[in-house]
Amino acid sequence: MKSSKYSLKVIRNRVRNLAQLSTLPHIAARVVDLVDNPKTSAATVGRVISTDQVLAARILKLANSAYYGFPREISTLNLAIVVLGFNALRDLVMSISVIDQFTVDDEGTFEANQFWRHALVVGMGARLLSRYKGYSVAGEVFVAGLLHDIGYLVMYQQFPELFREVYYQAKTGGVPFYQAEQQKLEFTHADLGAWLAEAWNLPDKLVDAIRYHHHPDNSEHSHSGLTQLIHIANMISYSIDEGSGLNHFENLEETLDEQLKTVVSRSYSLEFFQKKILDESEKIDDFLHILTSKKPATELV
Amino acid sequence: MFSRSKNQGELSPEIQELSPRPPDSNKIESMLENYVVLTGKLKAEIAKLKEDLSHQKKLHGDIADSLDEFLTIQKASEIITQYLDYEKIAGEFLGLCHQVLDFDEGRVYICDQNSWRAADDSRRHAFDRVVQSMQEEGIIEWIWQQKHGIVIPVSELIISEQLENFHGNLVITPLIINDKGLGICLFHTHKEQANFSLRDLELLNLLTQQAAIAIQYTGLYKDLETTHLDLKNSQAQLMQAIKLATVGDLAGGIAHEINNPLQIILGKIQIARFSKNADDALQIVETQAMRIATIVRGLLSLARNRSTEAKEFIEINPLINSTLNLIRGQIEKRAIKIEMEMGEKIPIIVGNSSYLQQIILSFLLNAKKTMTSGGLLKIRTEYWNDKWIKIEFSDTGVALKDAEIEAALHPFAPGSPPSEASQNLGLVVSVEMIREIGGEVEIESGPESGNRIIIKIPKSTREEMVYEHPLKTPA
Repeated sequence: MKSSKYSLKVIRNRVRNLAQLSTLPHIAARVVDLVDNPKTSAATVGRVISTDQVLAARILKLANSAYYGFPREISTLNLAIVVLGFNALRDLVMSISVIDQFTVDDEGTFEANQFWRHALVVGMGARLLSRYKGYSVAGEVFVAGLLHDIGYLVMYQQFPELFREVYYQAKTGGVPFYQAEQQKLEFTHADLGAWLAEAWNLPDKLVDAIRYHHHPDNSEHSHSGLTQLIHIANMISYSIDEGSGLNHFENLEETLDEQLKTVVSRSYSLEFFQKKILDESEKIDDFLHILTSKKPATELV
Repeated sequence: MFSRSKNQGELSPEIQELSPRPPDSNKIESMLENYVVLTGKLKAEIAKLKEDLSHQKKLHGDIADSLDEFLTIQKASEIITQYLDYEKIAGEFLGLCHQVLDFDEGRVYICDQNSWRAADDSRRHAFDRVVQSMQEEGIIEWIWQQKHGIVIPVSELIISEQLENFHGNLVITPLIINDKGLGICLFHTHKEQANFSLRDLELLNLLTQQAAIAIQYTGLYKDLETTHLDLKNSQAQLMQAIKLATVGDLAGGIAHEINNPLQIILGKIQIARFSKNADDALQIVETQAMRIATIVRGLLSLARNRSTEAKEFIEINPLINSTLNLIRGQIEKRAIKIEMEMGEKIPIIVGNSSYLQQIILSFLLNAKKTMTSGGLLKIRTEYWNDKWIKIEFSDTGVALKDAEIEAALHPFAPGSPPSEASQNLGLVVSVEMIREIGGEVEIESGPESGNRIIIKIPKSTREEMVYEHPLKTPA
């Protein structure tokens, strides 16, 4: 029984309009562009970020958080760039911008904090996996992980009745959320997220990774390496954090072990990555707290 | 496109199209407006083309740059991995880094179980203190975890005050293999922190990775060398131990060997004391004493530690005889008959007699072991094919099992049962010893015929024969 109230076309158009309303902030877009060019200097990136003092202060606070754990204080943006790296800075700017863009209040059906936590774990996990895979352009993996479930948020914010419908279907039927979606709707959160990413003009491989993160084999692009990484990082995140989150999966570990071997590396086991990602995820709370609090870090300005 | 009309008052076809009727002032205004719009569009078109062109140029430049980078890295892996020497690797690596970063000084530091040393030279250097302080602060551990290089101003270092005449920035890149930190590379540069780009850091990182691989190889190679040497040493020790064990085995028999002539000597001395003509008795005493002397000499030469340098001229037939004398009594006690068929014109060889004696003894003992009571031990020597000295030991005893033969000939082959090899340790070692001097061993056995062991020792070459050694005659 699919909900007929919203046709695919209506939904798609609304997502496009939404994208126009909430464009990716100018600075984030600019930093993504700049870091894409390997010749960009630290000074250039620093200058662009410095135009928003609040953003700059939050970045410095994050750079000094336990997540990065650099032994010295990082007091300037330039130092942050050459110590944490250009990619890390871009990821920070993206995280702050996207989270600001979708401020939601917690409610019975949706826990924003948990949602972002999962997004960050998958982003960081994917980045970690990419280091072991030797994925050459590790740059976009974090952003892809951060955004992979963004469709949930779009659905929750823009189509709350649909979201609730699917939520209760999942709850009463005892099925994962994404299966309830398939039962109820003609599209999934993955499609919603992909439409938004398209409207934001994000690179094709990011759109692909968001659209097929549950079914990487359906990916139409040759660069599905990214899609597979996000899929695996997502599954590992579920495997170490069962009971929470919107989904649960069967025979997770066996399938994962197989996928890790073919996609990432034969020399490391699932337990190895689970432990690594668990270690990272423990450091994430502090990071997330700074991310979601909008007040500038006065002590650092 | 918008060429002016030749005749005043007449307009180009395009404009005529825009204004079919004779122009009045309004029309002219709107015409002008159109002009402006069109020019604007054209300008935009030109700007776009220019941008395209510069984009294409940039793309071309980028590709050329990438190609350069690619070649640098390829060269790095080629050059660096050629060497198995820390100093050379560090030298080549730093040379390549100069193409990527303009630095005043660079050093490669290797961490070996928490102790740090420079790969290129061991002289003290201001960097040593930098490395120490960064290690204490945990910065190095951090870089290993993050797996990328960082740029830190000298002024940010805790020990910056101690580093006089030191300004600018330090670049630190991690040497890592499989999550394990091997060391770091440290560069001192005057390039400003703000001027670093992703490309600079990534390229340095890639080059450092190549160096890490080379350093890892070198470490493994050196380990392998040490292990190999250790193995050789312990093998030599094992040989010596087995030799001593053989001597121990012999001891019982030797006591008997010596006791026999001793009893005869004592008896003859008694006789000599009471008889007027002692000549016959003394004759026998002398013979028997000589027999003891031979045995003792044989024993001594056998127990002597083998030194590969100690070379002598050896006649194989007398050597077999004197070795046989050591255990002749034991063999005859078991009623084993001995048959000798010594070949003629067997060339003298250069070698270590104690080494060869040990081999011969081992085969003789083996033959004895197979025959508990009665039987025939045949020893044959032959000069074979102008190339080999062939020695055959045949016995009529219990035939060696196929597995035993296999274990003796290929003791280290996978699947070779260790128990079989350990039961015939003397045989295993002897086979190894023959192979070590370039010889070959064959073992044949059958339930009817007993065992036949054929050893072939290569004739000494002309160069070996002129080799003069102080110990050229047996001691």
